[in-house]
Amino acid sequence: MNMKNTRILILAVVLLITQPVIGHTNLNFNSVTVTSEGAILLSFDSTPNEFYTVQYTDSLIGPNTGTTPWQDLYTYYPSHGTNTFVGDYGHYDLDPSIVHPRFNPMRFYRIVNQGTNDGPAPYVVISSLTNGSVLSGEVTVSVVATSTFPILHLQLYVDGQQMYLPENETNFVINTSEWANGEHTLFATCMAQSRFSGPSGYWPITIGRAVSPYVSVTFDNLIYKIAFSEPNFEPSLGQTQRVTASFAANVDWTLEIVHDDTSNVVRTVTGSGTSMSFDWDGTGNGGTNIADGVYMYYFTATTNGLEMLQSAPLNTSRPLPSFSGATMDDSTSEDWLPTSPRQAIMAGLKSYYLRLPPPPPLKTEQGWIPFEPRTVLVEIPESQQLALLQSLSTRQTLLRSEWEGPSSQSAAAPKRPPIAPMKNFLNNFGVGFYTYKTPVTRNNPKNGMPYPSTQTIKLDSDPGNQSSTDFTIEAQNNSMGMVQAMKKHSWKRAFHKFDDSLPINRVRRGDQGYNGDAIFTQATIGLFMAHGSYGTTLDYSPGASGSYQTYFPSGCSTDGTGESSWLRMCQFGFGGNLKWMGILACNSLCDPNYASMVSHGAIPLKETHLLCGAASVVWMSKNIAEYWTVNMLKHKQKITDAWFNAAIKDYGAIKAGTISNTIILRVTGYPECMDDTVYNYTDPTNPSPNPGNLEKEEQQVYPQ
Amino acid sequence: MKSLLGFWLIFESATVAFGASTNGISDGSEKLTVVWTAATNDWQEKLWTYKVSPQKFSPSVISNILTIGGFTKKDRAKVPQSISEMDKNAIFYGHLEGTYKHLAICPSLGSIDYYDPTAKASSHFQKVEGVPNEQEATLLGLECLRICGIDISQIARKPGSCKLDLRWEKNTLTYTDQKTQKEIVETNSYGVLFNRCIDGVKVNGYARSGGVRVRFGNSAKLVDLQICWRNLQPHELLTVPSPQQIAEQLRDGKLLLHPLGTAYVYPFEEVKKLTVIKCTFYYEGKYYDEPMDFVRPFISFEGIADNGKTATGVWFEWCL
Repeated sequence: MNMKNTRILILAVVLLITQPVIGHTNLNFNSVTVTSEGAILLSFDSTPNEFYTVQYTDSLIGPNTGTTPWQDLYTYYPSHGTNTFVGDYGHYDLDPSIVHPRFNPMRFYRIVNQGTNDGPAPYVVISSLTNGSVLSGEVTVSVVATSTFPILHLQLYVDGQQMYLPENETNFVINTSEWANGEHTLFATCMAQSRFSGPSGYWPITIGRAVSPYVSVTFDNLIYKIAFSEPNFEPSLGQTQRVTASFAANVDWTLEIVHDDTSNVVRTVTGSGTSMSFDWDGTGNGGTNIADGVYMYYFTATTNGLEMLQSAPLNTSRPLPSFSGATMDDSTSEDWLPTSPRQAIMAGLKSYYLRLPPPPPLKTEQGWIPFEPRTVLVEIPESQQLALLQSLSTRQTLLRSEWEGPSSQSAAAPKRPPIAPMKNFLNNFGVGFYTYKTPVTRNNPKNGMPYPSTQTIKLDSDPGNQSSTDFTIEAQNNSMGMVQAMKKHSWKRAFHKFDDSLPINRVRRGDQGYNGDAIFTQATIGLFMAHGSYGTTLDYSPGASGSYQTYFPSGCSTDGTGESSWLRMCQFGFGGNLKWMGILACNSLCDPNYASMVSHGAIPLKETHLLCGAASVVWMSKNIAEYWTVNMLKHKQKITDAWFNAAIKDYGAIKAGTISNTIILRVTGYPECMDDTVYNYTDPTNPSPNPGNLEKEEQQVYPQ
Repeated sequence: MKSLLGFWLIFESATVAFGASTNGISDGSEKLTVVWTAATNDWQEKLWTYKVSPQKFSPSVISNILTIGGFTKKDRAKVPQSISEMDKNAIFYGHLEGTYKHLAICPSLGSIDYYDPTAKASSHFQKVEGVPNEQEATLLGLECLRICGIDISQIARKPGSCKLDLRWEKNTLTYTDQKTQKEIVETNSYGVLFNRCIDGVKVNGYARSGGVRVRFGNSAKLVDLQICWRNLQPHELLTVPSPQQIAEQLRDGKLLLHPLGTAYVYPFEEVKKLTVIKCTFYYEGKYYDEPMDFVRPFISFEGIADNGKTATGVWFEWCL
């Protein structure tokens, strides 16, 4: 259990920074609200068509730098019009994770204006819901977006919290039982881009971003506020998963924990009351050992006719509503927080919130910042708890009105971020990529010959390929899709690095004098996304052995623009734990370079089974990484088929006319590994840093 | 003779479409001159929007596919969650794991997915033999259509032709002969892709988004059979605008032009002359594991935009 039982008062101090861009409205926070879960909702003035980065920091002065270590919480967040809101619920899919604000004593925010749409804003709408709808159980929320541009990114938000990406792009499934009953606001955001990043071209890439109209709905469930203490439950680390739920009536409830792969019920817990709490240690019924993997939690509840208060368990381990901010959100009854010992005991809690006067205002460059009243959490002494319980036991006062909905309900969880339905991790993966946000012109790589030292490699289309096309949106979309799909299948993120967090030497091999970190050897499955070029002259660098190499430019600013900013295929840090690697980059395994590299032993696979790449120019589409993951883990396809099929599906959804070349993907590896699936594979019999016996399969994936 | 006939058809249809122009093929205005050279022989006047409902695969079709795949009723297995999530009424045979064969029939999606990895060699440890060539694969594919109950009249044809509009999928396995150090390339499977057509209009996208993909391996054994054949019910009959109406919309700047290879919007105000060189009717398609509620028609155009200095290939669409 990582949850803190005692909390220091939390004060969300909000600062604002405006970029000196003419015509922008001054950014002003106009409200900061804290939900009953301790999430922080920020609302700020905005200008239509602009987009923002929402940043946070847990400390105004960094430990070593003396400056404020701002971190991105959301990037490219589109304006909602003249007023925009966003929620901080933490972000567990980033690396490093951003923890939920309720776990931090304080958090500061700022909004940075990133710019204005340079493409037409798409039209996006939540099509399946209308204002005022009353929802219960699992709901499919359909989001429809239209644009003259390809729709690149759709995202659904519930109360400002980003939901998981859906597998079929437009239908988001949420379980309303994972929220409090009451009113909630849904909206969707969308990005549309004039073309996918691919070969450099005359026509610029422009992007439009938009938000849908808000849809205000009411969640109304017998089982509500299903919650989990651990986003990633690892009993092997001594963690316990605390599962909690509330009920809108006094119920008889059952919790079944089911192994997703076998559909076997491994644990059953029952009880009665208006809330439940169960600490799962990761064992089956009777404490038996059970397999690691994906586990879902199935709740059923049936009203039992008893009154609400009668069984409200005082000594329950129900989590305390956390509070961390400037104002309390008491807009709905479900977000109610106890402010006295009596209220707390009536709600079955052991603590209440005490509001203190605000500290004096703080002077900043932007002027005085007034603080809101502070609130502290106060534990009720045990003797007082008992006394209050006795005094209340004869009263029939209820906190809520009688439940008038269905007498029973079932609910499956978790579906809501950041929780993963897992018990320990099955394996791990790593993602690294470059976005090339800032175009640079770089020198061609050197050919490795000592004399004359100025000889450089001729690249396929230099100098055109030396400047870099920005594929921030597609790369981020792909990586996030992969991270979320892996998480749903109980795979752990070994790393998720990009741009400045991924100096190219972290990718390079450690041997042959390169002294790289070989970061991908930490993961079982790796994906690297970058630009790619092929050399048309021979390379004599260590490991290249006089072959025609393929090259990947770094997008890390500290790598510069010279020789050290190029990664060669022969320099890749393969091997170690890495079994299957994907390189989504142009020409990574193209002809004739591929044959040259194989014959010179210049694809240093070592223990890595298979390398998935491309024999042609590829376009950074939007979901290839996610589809590859889903194909491997969910559909259990061969690694090779999963790679090809991911591209076929993703490119197949692209409008005719928007991709101008044939795309061929290629997979190479040890012959005995060509049939590998994630679940059934063969280790290479003679792994080598310079294998000469590699095989390849290839498939044209566009057009098909 | 054939080409002359083709030219006449183009000229004639353009004349009919625009009538008033002096040379019969252009319709100019001060802002923009639209020249129409695209063939309009296959121009549709009315097209349906279809509503998708669950597909009813006949018992004989299912029986035939079971036979091809070597399955019997006892091979029917619990539907894996990844498939039941897509279709609660799915039927499943075999084992989903990629090194085994499986058959998934999803009525709600109108899809059938058969896969047998053992039917093709995937490394040089396995012998490549009896893999059909293009012609053989095509004949075998047509036979597959027949036993799957798919009427060949619903397979897309080449524009202005009665020839089937086919694509092929050739997969190769490449390795180095350890004795000779020579690179050996072997074709380990050959596939043929049939796109569906609805009322004579091709479904957009790959065969897997509307049509049939079939691939054969060693001894012409079936490696892949993916059928995406949604059950369509007429929903609304739409009137298709005439080429002249479309040209008017172009002249008025109401249609967005995109340079080929991008969705970027070409600056309309710079265009002096637009030559429409190709138009193709499509029905929307979606990958076979994704649901569709409606299937709608649209027209895709290609043209050349001339701004007085340069000519740029452009495309645009008309959604019905």
